[in-house]
Formats: sequence, structure tokens, C-alpha cells
Amino acid sequence: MSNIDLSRFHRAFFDESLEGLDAMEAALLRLDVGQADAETINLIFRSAHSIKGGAGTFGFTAVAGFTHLLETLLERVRSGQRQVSQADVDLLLRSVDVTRAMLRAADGGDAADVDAVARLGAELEQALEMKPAAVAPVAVASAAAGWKIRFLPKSDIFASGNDPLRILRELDRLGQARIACDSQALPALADAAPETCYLSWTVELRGDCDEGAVRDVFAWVEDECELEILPLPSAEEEGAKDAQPPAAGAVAHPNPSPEGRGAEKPKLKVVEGGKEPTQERRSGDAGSIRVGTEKIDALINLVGELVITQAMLQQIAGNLDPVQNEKLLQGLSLLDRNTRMLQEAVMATRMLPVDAVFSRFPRMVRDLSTKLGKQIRLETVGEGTELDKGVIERIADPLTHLVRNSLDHGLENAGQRIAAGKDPTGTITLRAAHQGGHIVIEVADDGRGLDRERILAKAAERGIPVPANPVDADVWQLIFAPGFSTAEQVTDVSGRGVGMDVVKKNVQALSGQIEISTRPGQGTCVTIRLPLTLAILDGMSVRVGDDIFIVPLNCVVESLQPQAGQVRTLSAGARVVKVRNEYLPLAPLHELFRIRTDAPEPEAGILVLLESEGRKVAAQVDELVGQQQVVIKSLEANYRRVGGISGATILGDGRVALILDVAELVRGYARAAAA
Amino acid sequence: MSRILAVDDSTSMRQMVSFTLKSAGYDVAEAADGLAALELARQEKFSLVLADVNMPNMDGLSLVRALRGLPDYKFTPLLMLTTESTPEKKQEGKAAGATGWLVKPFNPEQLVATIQRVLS
Amino acid sequence: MSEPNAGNPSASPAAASVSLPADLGIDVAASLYRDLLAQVDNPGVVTLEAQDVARIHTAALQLFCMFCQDRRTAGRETHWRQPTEALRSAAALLGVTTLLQLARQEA
Repeated sequence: MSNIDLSRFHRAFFDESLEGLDAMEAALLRLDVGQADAETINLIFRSAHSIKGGAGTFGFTAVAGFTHLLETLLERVRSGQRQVSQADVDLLLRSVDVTRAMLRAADGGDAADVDAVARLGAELEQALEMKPAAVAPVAVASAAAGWKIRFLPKSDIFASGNDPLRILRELDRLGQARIACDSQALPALADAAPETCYLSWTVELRGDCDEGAVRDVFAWVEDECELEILPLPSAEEEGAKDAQPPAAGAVAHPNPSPEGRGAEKPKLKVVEGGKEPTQERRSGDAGSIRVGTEKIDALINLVGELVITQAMLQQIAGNLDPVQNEKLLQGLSLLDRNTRMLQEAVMATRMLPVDAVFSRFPRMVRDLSTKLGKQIRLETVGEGTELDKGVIERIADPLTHLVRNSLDHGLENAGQRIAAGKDPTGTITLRAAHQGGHIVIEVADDGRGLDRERILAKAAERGIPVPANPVDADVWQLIFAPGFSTAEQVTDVSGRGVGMDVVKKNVQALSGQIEISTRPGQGTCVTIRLPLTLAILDGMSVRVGDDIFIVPLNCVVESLQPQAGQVRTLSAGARVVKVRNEYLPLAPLHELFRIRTDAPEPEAGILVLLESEGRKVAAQVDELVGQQQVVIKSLEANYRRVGGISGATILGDGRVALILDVAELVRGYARAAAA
Repeated sequence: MSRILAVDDSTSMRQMVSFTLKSAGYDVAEAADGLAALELARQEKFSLVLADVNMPNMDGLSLVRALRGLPDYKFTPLLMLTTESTPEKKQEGKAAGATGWLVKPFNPEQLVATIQRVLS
Repeated sequence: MSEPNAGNPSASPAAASVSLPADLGIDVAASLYRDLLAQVDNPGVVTLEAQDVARIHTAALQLFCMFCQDRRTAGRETHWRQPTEALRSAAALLGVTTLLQLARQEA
């Protein structure tokens, strides 16, 4: 038996423990200190309890030791012995962090901060009022010549699943047992109840075993029997030949007390476990398996290929005689439907609830509001909304920044709020919802709102260009300009350097859009629209000569056919187009990519106004072909990186179309303009 | 062959218990909480049930109580897997009808030794 | 479970045997009780067929104790046939070898 390698269970242990810590943290954050509800406390307790149990079993003694303290504290709360205080919640939250670090370290990550562990451990002990070194004496192994044991089971002992035979067998293993049965209580068979115990025993156990070992044998039936354990007189007194003399210095316990052992454990009153929360848990693990993301990505790629092949077939079939090829066409249309469904189903495997990011904010809001001395409530709506795992990972930072901004700049402190006749507690609302093929995430606060004059002043101060007679929407857009910050001083919350311009850039890198709406004194709402997945792009296809380019739809502002005189040539040969009151650089794609065009002059072609990072260019193309969703293929993975191109896709007719990298295009013209 | 029902919400513990007992020649069924365990126990009679105390949906104590109420489980050994080594917790388990307990942490050898003693 | 036992030399017309299952766990205590109760007042020799007994619970041994004690008090004879080691060691651990007349001399 000793060759079972427990390490095979470590992965599962780490995974479930980290999940448990997340659940614990979330529960701690929603815990209402005044009236902690039993279910939440229970959930928190259970997480600590499971980690401790697993850690001990799988040999992570440091984790087990630390979580034992945690569990002990929680047990007191659970049993009503201890009123949970705000200080306790803080302590527990920090303990969650430390446990997480210890688990990561045990899982081969960076070593945990030993000092931090020790410090927090000491704090927990202090909270528990445990005497540090005064560990209760472990019951001294009192070696006697042996023990005389009276064992009188209660008549219903069988109903507990216990069998006196097992107990006597275990006793017999401890030494030499002389077992005498008392059958006095046996009734006549006719009067007996077959499942009642009538027998009792007296055992003289000789051998080198301590009282604890004897008591352990009876541990399960302590309450189902009368038990008397007395030391046998020593060998000399008794003159018994078998008995071994007591070890030198060891003293037979004159009055063995059952309470002697385990006294180092805090005495806890345990109350009925109560109803367990049922909604906390997806029913068991049986319904899910863990799969590496690379496997799923491979699947998505293959399905992408399938979609393209299918589109190709569809296009070829368009030229067939529908009457002669009726069956084939029917089959193709079925293939079309099944392919779409397969694609959706495969995409769905990469989808995670947005709660995966939202769940980090309660803790952040709590910590920062303490730091800033503000009262802030966080509300989340639509945490269950699903989106691609890749998007989730990359939206976390922008969202974090937005929430910090709201905390730091958007929301007033309690005094200011009261003065403004508002609820002293500010609210930040995170909201996620599906809209068409997109997910919309809002970060809203009910704070002071954006200040038009201050933003304009700041823009002027920073030399950020402001359109003439800007409407409010133009002013709010200034926040996204590089180098802009509304904070009067740089705080350690929002920090320096990372501004809203980076947030916008990150969102656009996800093919997303970001918008601001605000009302003075009532709050600000930042809305992010994202595609559900990074593998598919909503694109506008445009033609230049024989080539098709895909422009991400989220970058397209408008398209127009320029009138004569609208395009002007500057001294350096660069051309600009005047759209309303703005001059935008003209970007003829045929020149950029050195390809043939049907319309060398802008007036003969179409201008597509593209925007990225707050700047615009007018891309000149021959023709707008249409809008379509395309499956993105990496150009770098399949060919090499090409300037101005972010990827490629395969069109229905099998041709490759390049996807325009609008951000790079815009930056290139901005540099040219600055030069 | 003795068939054992192992009940624990922790996947790693359940895997460890199940693997260990199977290696020792027992037939093992698994359940992730008390409700699932009760469902299985109604379908077949296990020789022994090994259940964690703290579980969602139905905890170990409630499971033991429910099992003891079934005619098939009137005398079946029902063991609790627990980290609480306090007398009160054990008392609670016993009051619910548990046969005994196994205190976590335990190693595979201890687990098998205990089960063998009970099922011998 | 009970049947006339013609093979026993000291058999009286009422001689009988009770054949015991391999598993004498607590679950079978009730049915064992019925079988034993049916034979406890049998004036002839009752043989307990114990060659299959592999597992045994205190409850079952206790029933044998009452059965044997009642019959001995009434002056009636009870025999074991081929008691297994499992049965013998269980009886020894419970300290009822004598009470059950399971001492070694009987095979």
C-alpha cells in the first residue's frame, strides 16, 4: 500500500483549492459584518476546511498548518462563539492571499514570503487567543504492565454500524488479550431481539501499549458503551510472567482522564450545520472536463477552415443549374447550416462568463475605497454574460483602469456627496450584456461627472488639439488623447503613465469600441463594445484593383465619394481631404501596397474614413464590396508580418483577403505629419 | 467484493480515496455530495460509506442521518471523513448515526487499514 | 435451511441441522434468529452446519450463545459441523468458545 504516489492528485488539489480561495474571497467580500448569514459563513468555512484537509493529506504541511488556524477561527464564527468583525474580515482576506501564495509556491511557483506567512499566522493565533508555546502536554505515554478494560456496550450499539467483535480484535492486536465474556444478560432465545447487544466483556490486556492506544480502539463507541480502563498492577506486584516492566521513569497514570488528550485544540461549541447553500455550486464536476486551450484553438482553426471550404462550395454551386443539381444544392444548404452550427458550438467552448474578470473588482474596490477614505458600493449586473476567454484576459486591464478611474476621480468622498445632496455611499456599476454579435460592458459611477471646462483647460495646457466649437462628445473624446489626465495630482491609485489613451488602444486592439457618456453631478458611464470572439471579425470588404481588403468595421467612420477640390496636395506631396471642418490625411491603398488600381485619382474612387486612437485617415479604395464576418488567420503564423496588415482571411471564392491594420496606418500618417 | 461509496466534494480527496481503495481491492463508487450519494445508495446496497462532513447540497451529517433511515443501511458502517478532531464534532457525527470517523489528514495506508478493520 | 439429518448416528426422529451461510453479518441476524428459534426446542440433536462461515458479526454469535445456552439448560444436544477458522477465532475474541462448545476437540 505504501507505494501509492499521492502526487498524481496534486493537480486536482491545486485547482480546486485555488477555486475554493476565489469563492472564499468573494464570500468574504459580500459578508455583511453586522448580520453575517449562516450560508455565507458556511461557504467560507468549507473552503478553508477543504484546503486544510487536502493539504494535510497531500503533504503540504505549511499550508495545512496555516489553514488550520484559519479554519479554527472560522469554526468559532460558524458556531456563534465569535462575532465576525471588520478586522476579522480583513485578517481573513489577507489570509486568503497568503494561502494562495503558499499554494502557488507549492505548485512550483515563486516561493511564498515566509515572513508574511509567519506574521499572519501569529496574528491569527492572537485572534484566537491561543497561548503560543503553551502547547498542551501530549499525554505522556503511560506504560503500565497492561490494562484492565471493562467494556459494556449499550444494547443498541449495532445500530451505529459498530461491531464489538471488531473492537475486541483491535484490542487483541495491541498485546496479549485475555477476554472474558459476561453472558449474564443473555435472555432466552425466544425472548431475544436479534439486533440487540446483550454481551459485555472484561479484557486483561498485557503488553507495551499506552492508554491512548487503548482508548483509540474505543474512540468510535465512546458514547455507545460504558468503558473503564484501569492499569494492571505491575509485573513485580502481580508476578505475572508475561508482563513487561514499565519503562524507567514512566509513571502509570493514576487517574486517566479522557480530556487529557487533544487539549491543545481550541474548545469549540459546534452548532447544527444548517442548510447548505445549494446555488453556490454547479452540480458536481461530473458535468465538465478540463481541456487545454490549445486543443480548443486547434478545433476553432479547423472549423474556420471548414467554414471557408463550405463558402467556396456554396459559391461554385451558385453557377450550377438549380434544376439539374437540386439534390446537390439541397445537400449544400444543409452543409451550410450544420457548418454554422458547428462553428457556434465550437466557439461556445471558449466562452467564459465575464464574471471571471468582474470577480476581481469587489476586492479592489474594497481595498481602494478604504485607502481613499471613500464609501463605495460595487454592483455587478450580467456577470453570467459569456465571451471569449482571450477577450476576457485582455479586457481585464482596461476594465481595471476604468474602475480605478471611477474610484479615484469619478466618485466624490462622503462629505462632498452629502453636500451635493447625494447618498454618501457612491456606486460603481459594472454591467455586461450581449447585443447582437457583441458584448457590451459598462463601467458606470454616480459621481461628479466630467467637467467640460476643466477638460478643455487641461487639453489646452497639454497642447492637445481641440476642434473648433467642440460639442460635448468631442470634449469627452479628449480624455482618450495621449497624455491626458484629469487628476489634479497623480495618486497612487490611478497612477501615472497609464491613461485613458491606453485603455482605448487596448479596446481597439480587441476590435472593440469605447464611448463615454456623462452628466454633470450625476455620474459617468464608459461603454465598451467588444466582439464576442477574437477569431471572427466584423469587416467591410473593399476592392483595390484585383485585390480585396478587409477593414475592421469598428474603425470605419463613414465613406464618401470626394468632390473635386475636396482633396488638396500639400507641399511635400502628401494629400489631405477636407471633410466638414477637418483635414484628414489621404491614404491611397494602391500606393501603400503598390498594387494596380482602377481609380488612381481620389475623385474616381471611394474614401473610407477610418479612425483609431483618436486620429483619422481617409483610405482611398476603388469600390466598397460589402460587409461580412471573416475568420481571422494569422499572417505571421502562416507567412510573415506585413506592415499595415493585421491578418488575413480567406474569402468565399478561395481568394486571400488582407485585413487592414488601421491603428498602424493612422500612426504612420501621424508620424509623417509630425515630421 | 465489498463495494464502498466514497463521498467528498473535493475532487482530489475523492480521487485519492477511490484510487487507494481500488488499489486495495475494493470496488468503489464516488459521489460529489450527499444528495448524489443518497441517490446511489438507494440504487444499490454498499458495504460501507465514507463521507466528508462539509459538502454542499447535502452535508455528511445529513447524509448519514438519511442513510440510517433506509432499511438497507440500518447497520451499515458509515464513516465520516473529517478534519475536525474536536469531541463535539465527532459527537455530532455519532448522534447522526455515523459508525466512526477518519480524521484528515490521513495517508493511504491509514485509510486502507481502517477500512479493512471495519470490513473484516 | 433446516432439513432432516439421517446421517447422524445418534439421530432421533426429530434430529435436524441448520446450515449457515458464508456471511453471518448483522443483516442476516433476523433470518438466522428465525431459523434458530425454529430448532431451539427440538428435542433431538441439532447440528449447526458451519463449514461455509467466512464473516460473522457479534449479533450472530450472540444468537448462537442463546441457542446453545437454552438447549443446554433444557438438556438438549447441539453439534457444530466443521466450524471454520473464521468462526472459531470470532468466538475466541468474544470469549464465548466455551459457551458455544467450540473447543478444539470437536472437529
